[in-house]
Amino acid sequence: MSLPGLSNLPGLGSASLELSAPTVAVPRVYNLNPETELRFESSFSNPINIKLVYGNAEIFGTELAPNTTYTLKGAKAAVYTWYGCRLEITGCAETVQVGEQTPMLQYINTHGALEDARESAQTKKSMGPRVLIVGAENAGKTSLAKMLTAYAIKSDRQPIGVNLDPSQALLSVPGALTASTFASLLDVEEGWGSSPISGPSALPIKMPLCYHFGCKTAESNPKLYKSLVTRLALAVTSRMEADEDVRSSGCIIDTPGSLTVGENGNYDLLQHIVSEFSVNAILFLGEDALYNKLQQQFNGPEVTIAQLDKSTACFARSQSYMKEFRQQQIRDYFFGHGSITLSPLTTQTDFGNLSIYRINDSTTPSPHKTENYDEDDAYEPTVPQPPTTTTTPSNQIYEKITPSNMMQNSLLAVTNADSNASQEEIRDASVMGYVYVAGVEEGSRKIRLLSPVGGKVPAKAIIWGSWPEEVVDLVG
Amino acid sequence: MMSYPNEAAEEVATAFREALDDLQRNDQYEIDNLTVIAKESTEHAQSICVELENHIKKTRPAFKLPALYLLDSLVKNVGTPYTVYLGRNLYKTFFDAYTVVDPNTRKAMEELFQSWKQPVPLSRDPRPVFPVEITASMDSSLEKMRSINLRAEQEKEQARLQKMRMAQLPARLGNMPPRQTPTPTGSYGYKAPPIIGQNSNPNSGEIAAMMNSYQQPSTPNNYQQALRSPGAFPPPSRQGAPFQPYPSQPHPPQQYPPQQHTPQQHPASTAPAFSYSGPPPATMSHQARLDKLRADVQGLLDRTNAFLVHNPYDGEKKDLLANLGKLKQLLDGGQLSLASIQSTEVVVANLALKLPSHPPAPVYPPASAPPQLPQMSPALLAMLSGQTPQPTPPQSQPPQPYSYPPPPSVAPTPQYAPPPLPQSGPPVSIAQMMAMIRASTPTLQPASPATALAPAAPNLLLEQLRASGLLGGMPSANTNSATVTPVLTPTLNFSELAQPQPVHEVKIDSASLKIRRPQVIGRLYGDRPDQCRQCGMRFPGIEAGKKAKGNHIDWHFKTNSRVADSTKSAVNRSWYIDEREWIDYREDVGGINGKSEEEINAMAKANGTSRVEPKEQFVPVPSDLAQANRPCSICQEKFEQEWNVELEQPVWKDAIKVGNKYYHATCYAEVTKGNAAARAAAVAATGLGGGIGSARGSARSTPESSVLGKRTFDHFKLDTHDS
Repeated sequence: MSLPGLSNLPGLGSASLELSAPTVAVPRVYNLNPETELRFESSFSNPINIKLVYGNAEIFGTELAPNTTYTLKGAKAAVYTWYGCRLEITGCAETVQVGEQTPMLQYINTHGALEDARESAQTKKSMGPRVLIVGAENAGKTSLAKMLTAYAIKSDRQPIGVNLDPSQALLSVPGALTASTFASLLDVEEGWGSSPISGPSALPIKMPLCYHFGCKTAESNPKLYKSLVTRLALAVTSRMEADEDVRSSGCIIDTPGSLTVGENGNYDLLQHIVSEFSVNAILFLGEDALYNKLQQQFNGPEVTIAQLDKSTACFARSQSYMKEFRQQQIRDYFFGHGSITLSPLTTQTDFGNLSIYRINDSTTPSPHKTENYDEDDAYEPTVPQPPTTTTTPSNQIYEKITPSNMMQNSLLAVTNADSNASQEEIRDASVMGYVYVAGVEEGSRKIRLLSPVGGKVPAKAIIWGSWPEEVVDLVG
Repeated sequence: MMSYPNEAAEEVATAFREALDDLQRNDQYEIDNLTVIAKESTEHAQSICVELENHIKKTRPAFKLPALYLLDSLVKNVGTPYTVYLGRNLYKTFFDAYTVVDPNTRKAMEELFQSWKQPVPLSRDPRPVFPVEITASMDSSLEKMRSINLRAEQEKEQARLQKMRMAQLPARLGNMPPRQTPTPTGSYGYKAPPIIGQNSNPNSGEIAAMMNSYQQPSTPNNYQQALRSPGAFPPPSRQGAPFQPYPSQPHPPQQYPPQQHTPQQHPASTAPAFSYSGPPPATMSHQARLDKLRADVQGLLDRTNAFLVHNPYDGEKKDLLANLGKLKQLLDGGQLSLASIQSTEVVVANLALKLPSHPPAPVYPPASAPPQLPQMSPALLAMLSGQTPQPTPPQSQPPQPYSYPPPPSVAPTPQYAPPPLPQSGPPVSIAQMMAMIRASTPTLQPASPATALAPAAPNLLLEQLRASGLLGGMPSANTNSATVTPVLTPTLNFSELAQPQPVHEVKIDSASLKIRRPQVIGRLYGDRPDQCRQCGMRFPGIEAGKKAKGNHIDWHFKTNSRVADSTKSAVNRSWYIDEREWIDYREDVGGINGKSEEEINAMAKANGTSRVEPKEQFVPVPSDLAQANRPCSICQEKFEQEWNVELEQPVWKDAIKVGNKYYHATCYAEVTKGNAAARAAAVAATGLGGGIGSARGSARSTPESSVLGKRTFDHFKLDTHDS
């Protein structure tokens, strides 16, 4: 049996080359004192590798396994240690610094308080704490949500994590509003974990429930946003009623930073979220005059509100970073993250086989000219429109369209609603997945789609929103 | 990296070789690590295989088995291309090792070989690990060898009895258990000179000269002198008897209890091992003896080297080293006559007797009876692993835990290796990874078997593995764990932090949240001292926690092997489940939360939410022979058969018959669940696509009991409303 070379063997291609990327070989060793953190940033192209050599340490509340190398791509995070540790770091980190002053004591005390509430909920068989996290952009809301979730998991709870921020994804793609019960370890490398895949995964998969919002900010389509919040809250509440473990664990809700913009914030949307999820604890991150106002508005026998210091591990995240971050999340949805390599499939289909609905989005009418908008413009607080209970043709949520070149490189949400369902049905239907428009041939009326699952794209109502922004190089 | 394939391959090979050199015991952790590395470096498979083969060939016999286990792990867990590359030389690799190892190791190797004729366990691929063409020839050779050995064994036994009767050399008997005395030395009376004359080999003169300078003729006095001469004796504590300098003391023939076979396996650590590993001349071919002699001399060389590391100024040993080097050259280079081989064997045996008495007992790695490792100073460890010793004592390196003392387990035995601070390796990640692994070996060696095995002692899976020989050859693991476990537990004195305080009484207000409450932190750490080394999850130190951790590790093992299997097929993201399914979905807490499936099923039953668990379903074994031999149509694994008392006939456990086909009930439940999810989403094709991921948990879900489960979709629809 002679073997001339490796190239002739099947399956020896580039499958596992990613691991060999780091260029810095010498590990830098950091000894951390108790209750300090090591903040670091890494780019998307040069991941950072972290190994806990001694002691114990956690990233966003999830403890690191000893002598295991964690590879973090495009991360802005911190390793925190309660008892001291030694870390080895390799790879190109943009920033690495040790921080002594952290608000971690407040955060873990918050967890302690939530645990008290869960404890008593468990004995009374009532609902555990429903926590709403509010704060400005880059205050560390998602970090705190992740931390509280991780601590709850560590305490054998099964909290529901809810993401109401369309600018980033939770187990899904940006633009989706998502809820998921977390009963198993969060994935330090990916952030939260992985949604179901067709094969086994080293960490248990998390099961998200997604609704597609498809707009950049809540304010750009408050009506749709509210409907989806209501929808999501109903599902979360139902789950809590049905599932005893989840019920006593409660839920942790992450919100977009845009809700705090302006003198009064977006009180209307906050109020909606609080009432739909029956929030009974509001955590306000950072120093802000808004806190006092919210305190007046919400504090009462039903709702506790507390102010927490901003996370010190939060780096300012530029628009370009956030964009890259989102694109990474989209890429991860199709191609997997870290050790999980997924194989999406490209399918070509006739226009006629798809029922695509575009979101009627008054603020961003032309989704494809929004490449370089100023953030401030987008966060202009919008005056909530008086709710219209009847849908007139002129005020429709969606508009049925035929595919066009405009859709090139954008994401489409495949809902669970039938292709000829009513507007409300489409809106209220959860998402079964996303497909990516790889190419449109208007002449031959063919559309080429990248789909996570092979086979025909399901004959369902498909939503095309202005958000997330298009990903140019998803399919080579 | 891709642009320098050769350089990269070389670096990987070097790093792999170095990692191999540290593979001195059957260390599951290490083997897994190397397997993963090999798996991720399939582009360098050829170089890795060459390294591995060379290593198995060159390393001393005691280290061959771990390396063979690694080979086994590669071919079973990674498969192609390793199977192809390693298969080419498998016969040679295997038998080169087989001829020089002791019977226990041979047995383990035979078991290993048997498994190679089978398909990979839990795999869908029905082909054996290695193709029949390779294994068939090995099989017949093995059979021949075994019969020869059997005869040899009998002859040896007779020789031993005879010699005991004669009892000519009490001193030798004291120093070398007669059972293990090689026949040649006995019958030739340790006299090399007469042989020299007969030797036509031009090199024989040199050999003779060397032999003269090191040979200690048979007089007990000389022998003792030789033992004593170079320096102080170690306390006779370590396996004491064989090395005691009192020749007249009689020793029972069974010096080495079989379970302590570490010293026996190692030819270099004790003299008996030489004779032990050498079959008598009557049955062993000339070439085989020569090979064995080479291995032995290599072992001596290694040991002398190890000795010199600690006694760098011992001139005598330096000379010995030089001479051994020459001897090795001779052996490697030329054809030696039987006679000169025999005489050299005598010399080597004597040298081997001399050596172990010098260095402080546990110094060199060959004697790595695992329990001794933790007692070695880090400096020694560092030297042994070829690193520069760490100037600062390790205790001072971790950040000092404030206000409480380091636990006792840290202080006396600093358990982690001196950290590999400046690694001057090439900038290749794989090489670097291995360097890290290698550097951490001293930590991992004592640690990993304990974490992996000790808490999982009740764990069936591992038991089975051990029984099947896959984890064999590590009898010390259990005894080991007692010593090592404290080292593993977090090195902080948690008990001080974890005062029993059932309720935190933290209020959510800005002031209360700033008060330091160690017990809140303690509940996440100190109350859960037992950490999983794979994922970092923590378990309570109490009995229930141990059990949970056992389940958890079991789960890791299953999952990891599933993941390994799945690499062959393409994996894709599944569709999400819809809201009703999501509400009915129950998280998969099996394993990861330390609950076994049985416990979960029991819980489900206690809640009255499940009817017949798939696991409990069974069908009578079909009478049709073809059917009865068929595996589950889904997972392609055979059914487990048991006798059903009520039916008075054999049944298949966990089985279901659908139409004409038989499935595992659990497999079927998963797949149909998956299909249900897919159907709900009206996915036309790829029923599995929507399924497996979601099905694992939802197979246990409780469709009937949920609030919204009975509602129709329309009912579930909501109106928009603003508050």
